Amino acid sequence: MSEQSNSGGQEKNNNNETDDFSRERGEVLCRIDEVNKLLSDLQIEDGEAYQKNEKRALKKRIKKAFNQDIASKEDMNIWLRSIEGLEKDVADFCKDVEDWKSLDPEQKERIKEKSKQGRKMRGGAAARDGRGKEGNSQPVVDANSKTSKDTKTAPEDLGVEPALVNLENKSEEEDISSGSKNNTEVGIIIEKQEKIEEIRALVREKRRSYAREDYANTNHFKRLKSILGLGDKQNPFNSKETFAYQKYQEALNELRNLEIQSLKDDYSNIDSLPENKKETILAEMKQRMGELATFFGLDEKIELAGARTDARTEAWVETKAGKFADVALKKSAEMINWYRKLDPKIKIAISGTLLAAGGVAAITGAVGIASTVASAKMIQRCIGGTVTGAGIAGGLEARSRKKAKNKIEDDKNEIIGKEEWTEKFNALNDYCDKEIKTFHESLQKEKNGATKRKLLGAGVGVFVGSGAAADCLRYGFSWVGHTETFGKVKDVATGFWKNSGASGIVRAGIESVKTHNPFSSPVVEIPDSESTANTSSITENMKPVEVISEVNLDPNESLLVEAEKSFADLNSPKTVEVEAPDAKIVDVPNPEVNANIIEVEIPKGGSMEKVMIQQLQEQGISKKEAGKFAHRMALKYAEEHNISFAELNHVEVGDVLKLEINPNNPEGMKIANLERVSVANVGGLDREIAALSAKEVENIQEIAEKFGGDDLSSQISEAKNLVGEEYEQAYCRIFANVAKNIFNGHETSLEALREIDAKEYIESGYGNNPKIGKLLEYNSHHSAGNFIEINTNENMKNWTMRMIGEMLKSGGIEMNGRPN
Amino acid sequence: MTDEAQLKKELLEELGLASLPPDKQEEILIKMTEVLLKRILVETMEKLSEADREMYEKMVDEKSEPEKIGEFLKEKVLNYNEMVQKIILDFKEEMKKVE
Repeated sequence: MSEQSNSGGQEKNNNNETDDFSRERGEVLCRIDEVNKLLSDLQIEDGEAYQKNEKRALKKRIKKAFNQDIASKEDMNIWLRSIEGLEKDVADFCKDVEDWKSLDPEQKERIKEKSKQGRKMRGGAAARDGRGKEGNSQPVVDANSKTSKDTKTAPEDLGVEPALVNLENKSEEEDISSGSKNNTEVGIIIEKQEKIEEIRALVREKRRSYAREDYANTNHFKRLKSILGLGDKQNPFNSKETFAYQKYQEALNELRNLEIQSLKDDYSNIDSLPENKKETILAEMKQRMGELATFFGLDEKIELAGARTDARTEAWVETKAGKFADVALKKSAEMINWYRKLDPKIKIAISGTLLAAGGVAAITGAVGIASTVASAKMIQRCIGGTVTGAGIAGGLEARSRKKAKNKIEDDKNEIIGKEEWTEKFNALNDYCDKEIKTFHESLQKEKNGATKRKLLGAGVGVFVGSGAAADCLRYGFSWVGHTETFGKVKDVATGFWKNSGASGIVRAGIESVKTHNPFSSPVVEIPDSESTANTSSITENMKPVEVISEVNLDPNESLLVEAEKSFADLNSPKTVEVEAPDAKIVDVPNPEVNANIIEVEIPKGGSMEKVMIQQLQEQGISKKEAGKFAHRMALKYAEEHNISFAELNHVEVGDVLKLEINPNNPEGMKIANLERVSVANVGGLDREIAALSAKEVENIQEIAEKFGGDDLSSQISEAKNLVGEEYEQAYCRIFANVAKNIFNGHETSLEALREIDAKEYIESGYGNNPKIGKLLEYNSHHSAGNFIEINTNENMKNWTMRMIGEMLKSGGIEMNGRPN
Repeated sequence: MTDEAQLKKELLEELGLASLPPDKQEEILIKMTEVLLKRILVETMEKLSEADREMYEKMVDEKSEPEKIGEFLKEKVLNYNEMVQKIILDFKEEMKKVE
């Protein structure tokens, strides 16, 4: 392809992109305009000060959205998401206002009476959903007012809990909307609520960023590089993942502080209340404290797990350019939306089925969850039915063997049980702080696979294998307790099939799962999947994940130097072929600085044990003893991280050994972590590995047999039974072995390949395998029309790795070395 | 306590939800299920080849019988049921508070 035609083609592409961009921008502006009109046409009754404030806040958001500066596709995506949130908020607000208007005076009176009893109020739809900076807010209720007409309450019937306002008794008769003192207090409360909502939105954003960085770093780079023996340099103070985690923690801490401060502020007004009201308020505060503990102890963990799943989905989508990526996203969105639209009882029934029996034979996956639910057989098993089989008892017995863990309840009781309220607040603060700090560990543990199933374990095997599992499924559904649900489930499930594959779920028809618990993160509504770009679940103000690619290489890093060196090692005939180390991830310690952790860089000519011996000697241990301890430490670390001793000892100059030292017990020193020096990325190949399908697995087996012998074949057989990230790890490992074998077997061909010009190669028909030419063509296409200049080790490595990746994907190819 | 109630109680205890109010229990379960459904979907999609994914899409668009789709998945993905089960169990482990 000539450069001229190539640049002409590029120019045309650029023009098309600009047109698309402008059109998209125009469409979004139209949407903003429609929302603005909707809000402008909304009439608010006189005296509804709170609603008027809310309308003003939404207007401000609209104005801000309209004036947003959009310079890139990334900005556009962020903008789109915020517009979707805005549309939803405006729609919700309009609905709430109209619903309030539709109430008759008696209903309004009743609601106001209820709020007079001191029910707590959270700020409106936004607090419910945790959405947006200036989400819907509902009128504040005067908890002490005796006059119903004076209060502007958020009607519980509209699904909003009233906010607590502690007014002095003397102000009971004042009209909240007009009294200056009350207006100030209302204003303060609104501001507080808005601030909390703002921080909640920040938490969502940072959570997502962290999940993405964590997934990208761990799943692709770290594993692939470590198994290729190239390590991964991770400076805990600079790595993207650590930075993202720190920001996430900061946001969580800020939210915690705000929430607790809000509690304290409310508590500080308690003394001014009459005794009977005081008791009620205190009880509610305890409930709020419990909810806060639950939020940080459980809700946020679920959200983090969800964010990680989303990150994985997005990564998978990004590696699979093409139409199916969009289809997969659409199906995911449709499935979730279908689930959300179900009757709550049916939702719970499905939850019970999935979670109670651990999956079980009758479930055929989420893509078929709807199919499963729609299956008459499944429904029959799940709804009603009779208890049969001794296997059931066996299954239940297995469960009853587990000791129930009820840590949240214990922690909450401990917090609330403190005598003084100051102690309560401090205990709550400490508890939330502790929970926040554990998020990283719990996420790492999950990835490590360190938390294996201990509890159900063998019980599940018996449970499923005995055939009792299917019968036991009904227990999950039997919570519903009504046989008429049978029909409903079937109809709903049938409805899914009617809707799926159609034009997409109408945005207005989607109902978010509302929650009355202001501390719980919102169940984010998935917008119309057709309108999304590359993401599944969307929250506002999210930055798209940075795609890790060659062009993002930091030339200043010493990575390139190490890459060249490592590549030379791979290429050298003297390289001892060692099985790639297990790709299991080492626990990444909490990035907080620990005063007892020291970092020691492996010097030239150094080794791990030498470094450890030196440190032990510095702690006062004799050389002889230090040698023994060092060896023992290394063995222990290798065992804990499931790597061989040889692999652990294979360190590079510059690798960093982190040692945990106890000055009071020098012999207790242990290895905290070993951070290997990283190398340049290998382009998108890691993502390609992650996306290998079952069929491709079989293809790899053929190649492995050709190049790697029995050992690789058995690795592949083992890997076939793995799922999720273990599966990816295994294939990274296998791939690395294949690559190494190829390199070692054909190093001379690489020299020859250096001299090849791809275009010439293709045109002259070199090689007796047309697929080689095809690969080179593929490669030249992907390098923007020009064959990569293979004039450095770095490029050669990347080029060759890409080629090998293509070989694996295409099902095997004769790499016979020299061209004919 | 009936077997059903026992199983329900054990599940809630297993997930650390037993002490929560019923509406909160339901809310948490629903959220967990959403995350879980997505994970199962992602895993399944990853395991299918390009051609199989197209077949799946076709089957859904043609409103094929759910049982047929289920059979298709089981055929195309090795040890599909076990895979799903493992995903669920791993997820539950993640949700439990493990010291």
